Amino acid sequence: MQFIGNKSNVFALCFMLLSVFTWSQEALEVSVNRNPVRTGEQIQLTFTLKNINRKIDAPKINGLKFLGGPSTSNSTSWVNGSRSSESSYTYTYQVTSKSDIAIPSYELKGSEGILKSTPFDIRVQERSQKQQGENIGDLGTVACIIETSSRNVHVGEPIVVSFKIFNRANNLDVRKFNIPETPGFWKETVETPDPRWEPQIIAGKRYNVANVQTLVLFPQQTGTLTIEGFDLVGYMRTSFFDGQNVTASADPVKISVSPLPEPIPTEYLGSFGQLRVNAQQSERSCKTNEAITLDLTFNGEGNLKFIQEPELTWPGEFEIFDPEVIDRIKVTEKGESGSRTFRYVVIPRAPGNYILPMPTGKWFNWRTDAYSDLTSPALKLEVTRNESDEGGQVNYNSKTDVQVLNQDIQYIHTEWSGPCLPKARANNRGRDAAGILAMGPLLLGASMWVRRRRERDQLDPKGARKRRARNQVRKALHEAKQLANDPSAFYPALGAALENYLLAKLEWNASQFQRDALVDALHSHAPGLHHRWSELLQALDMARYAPGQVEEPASMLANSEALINETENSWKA
Amino acid sequence: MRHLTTVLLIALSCTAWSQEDFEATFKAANEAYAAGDYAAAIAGYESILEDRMHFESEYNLGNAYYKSRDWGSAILHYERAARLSPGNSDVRTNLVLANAQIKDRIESLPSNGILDLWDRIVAPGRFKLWMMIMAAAWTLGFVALAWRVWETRLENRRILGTSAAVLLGMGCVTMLLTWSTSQRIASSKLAIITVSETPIRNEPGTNGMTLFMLHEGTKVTVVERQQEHWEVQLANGNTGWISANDLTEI
Repeated sequence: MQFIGNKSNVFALCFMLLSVFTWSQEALEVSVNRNPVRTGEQIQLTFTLKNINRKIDAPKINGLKFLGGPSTSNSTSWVNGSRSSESSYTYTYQVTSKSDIAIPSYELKGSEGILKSTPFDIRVQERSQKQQGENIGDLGTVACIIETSSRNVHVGEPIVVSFKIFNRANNLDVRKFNIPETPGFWKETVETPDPRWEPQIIAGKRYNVANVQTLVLFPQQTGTLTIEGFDLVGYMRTSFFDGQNVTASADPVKISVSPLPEPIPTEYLGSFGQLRVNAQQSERSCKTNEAITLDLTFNGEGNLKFIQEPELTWPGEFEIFDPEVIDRIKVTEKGESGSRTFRYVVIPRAPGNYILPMPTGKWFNWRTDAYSDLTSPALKLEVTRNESDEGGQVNYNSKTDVQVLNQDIQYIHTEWSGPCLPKARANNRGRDAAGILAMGPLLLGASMWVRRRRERDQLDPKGARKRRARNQVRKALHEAKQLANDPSAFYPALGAALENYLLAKLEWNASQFQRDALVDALHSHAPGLHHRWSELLQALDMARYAPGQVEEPASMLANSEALINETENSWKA
Repeated sequence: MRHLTTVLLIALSCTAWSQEDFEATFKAANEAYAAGDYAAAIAGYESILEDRMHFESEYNLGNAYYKSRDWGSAILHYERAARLSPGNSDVRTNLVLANAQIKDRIESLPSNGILDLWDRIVAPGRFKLWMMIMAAAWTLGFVALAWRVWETRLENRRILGTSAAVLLGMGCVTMLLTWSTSQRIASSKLAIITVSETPIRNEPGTNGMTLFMLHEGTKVTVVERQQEHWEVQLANGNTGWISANDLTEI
C-alpha cells in the first residue's frame, strides 16, 4: 500500500507539473514594414512564428525582387508558468511592380495542425511628377518636399533647392533622411543652423515644417537634369509605450537646363546675375624697382568661384608676380554673391607713364537673358627713376626658361685640316711605336760613343790630330772635286788641301812650311814617297800659273788620293 | 647643280690624287651639302674616304646621311669620326641625335667597378694619349741618360739619373697602356646594322630560331665570324648570329 500510495503521489506530481508547464498557442504571422510603398523602394517582409520552431525560407512573390536575408530574432518568455517563444525571419525585397502586390496566405504544419497566415495586399504608389503646390493638399501626416527656386534655367544660372519635412503629428522622431546626389550640378551648401520645426498653415491644415538642408545648384550641362527623391524614415509614437515606423519620400524634381544664347562671345566669363570689376592701386606714382599692389575685384551674384585669373597684357618693363586670390563669397538661401579679388604685386623696372591693364570680357546676365560687357576705367601709374639705383644696386630682371623649338645636328666642318692619310697607316701603329721607342736608345748610344772617342783623343792627342788631318783632307779633296770644271779654282784648292794635310801629319805650323824641309821630313817618315810628293806639289805650283801644262784635274785628283792612301799606310810615327 | 655634279664626276675619275685634289673634292662636297644636294655631297665624301682616313670627311658624310634620313649610315660614319677624334663635341652631339632616331633601345649591362675603370683607361680613344705620353717619357728618359754621360758634377749626375729612372718607369707604364689599348682596338670589332630590320638567330645560317630583331643604326660587337654569318653581342649582353650583309664594321 505504501508503494501504491507512493505511486499515486508521483502521478499527482507529474500532473501538477504538466499543468504548470503548458505551452501557449502556436501561430504564423506575416507582416511588411511599410505599406503603401513606391516602385523601387525596399521593403522588409517579416515571418513571425509563435511557439513553433521552424525555419522559413524566402518565398518568391510576384512584384517583389528578393535582395537579402534573413535576419532572425528569437525570444522566449515565461508568464504564470506558461512558456511562449517567438521567432521572426525578416527578408528584404525591392518593389518592382507598379500595381498592388498580393501577399498570399502561407501554411505551416504545427503540432496542432496546419497554421495559416493572413493574406494581405501591399499597395504600390507610383512616383508622381506633381508640383508642390498641386501636391500640397495631399501631404498626409508626414511628407517630404523638394522645393526649387526655378525649374527652367540657363547653364550656370543658380537654383536654390530646399529639402523640407512636413509633419502634422507633434511626436515625430526623424531618425534618418538622405539628401540625394545632384549629378550635372555644381553644388554649394547653404550653412544653416540645426533644423527645427516651425508651424505653417497649408491648405487650412497646420503643419510643422523643418528645412533640413538648402543647396545652391549651378547646372553645368544642358538638358533635363533630375534631383532624385528625398526619403525620410521616422518613428511616430502613438502612446507612451507604443509607436510605429513612418516613411515618406519626396518626388524627384526635374530641372530643364537650356543652353546659352548663340553666339557665345569669345571672351565669355560666365553666367551671373550681376558682375562688376573694380580696380584699385596702392600708389598712383612710384619709383623704379619699388613694388605697388593692384587689386582687381569682381563683385556680383553667381558662382564667383568660377572666375579665373584674367589674361592681362602688362607693360614689358613690369615684373609681375602671381596674384593672391582673396574670396569674400557668401552662399545664402538667396543664392551666391560676394567678391573675388586678384591682388597683384607689380614692380616697374623702368621709368615712364603707364596705363595698367584692366580685365575685359562678356558675361551672361540670367536676369535679362543677354550678354553684358565687363568694363572698368583705366588706371595710370607714373614711374620715376629711383636715384638709389645708380648707387651700385643690382637690378634683377625676370627670366624665363629658353624654350627649345627645334633640334638639329651640328653643321658640317668646312675647313680642310691635315693630310688625308691612307688607311694602311692605321695598321702600322706597331712600327711607328717601335721607331719612336728606338730614338731614345740610339741617342744614348751616340752620346756614349762620342764621349768615349773624346776620351780616347785626350789620351792620344797626336793620333787624334792625324785622324782629324785625314778627315780634313778627305773633306778638302771632296770640295776640290766639286771644282774640277774650274781649273783656276781647282788647283789652288787641291794644293791647299795637300799642304794642310802634310802640316797636320808632320805636326808643323804654317810658318815651318818650306819645300826642302818638307821633302827631307817626308824622306824620313815615308822614304819611298818623298819624290812623288815633291813632284805633285811642284805640279800644283806650276798649275797655278800655267794650267795647260799639267795633268787634267781628274787624274791629278786620283793621283793625290792614291798618294795619300799610300802615305797613310807607310807613314812612320 | 649640273656643273657641280660634273665637277664631282671629274674629280672621281681621277685615280692618283694629291692632297690638293682631296681638298678640292672636299670643298665641292661641302658646297653640295650647303645647297641641299646631299646625294652629291655623299658621293664626294665617299670618294675621299675610299681608301683614306679623314676626320672632317667622315663627320660631314655622317651629316649628309643624317639629312638623307639614312640613320644607319649616319651613325656608322659618326662612329668612325669619333674613332679619329674621340673628344670632338660636334660628333658626340650629332651621334646622340642620330641614335635618338633608331628603334632599338638597349640597356647596357651594369658597370663592374675596377673592370669598368680599366675599360675606360684603355678605351680605344685613348691610344693617341698613351702613345704621346709614352714617346715623351721614354725619349726624355734617354735624353736625361745621354746628358748624364757628359755631366761631370756628381750632384747633377744624381739628379739626371733619378729623373731618367722616373721617366723611363713612366715610359714603361704608358707602354703597357699603349699596348693594351692597341690590343683593345684590334679585338674590339664594332659594327652598325645598316638594313631596316634583321633577325638575330641562335645559330649561323638561316635555319636557326630567331631570337630577336634588330633595326637600322644599332651598334653591336662582332664576336666571331663564320663566312657569311657573324656572331654579334649587344650592349645588354645578348648574343646571336646575323647575316654579314646586314651590318658594316665601324
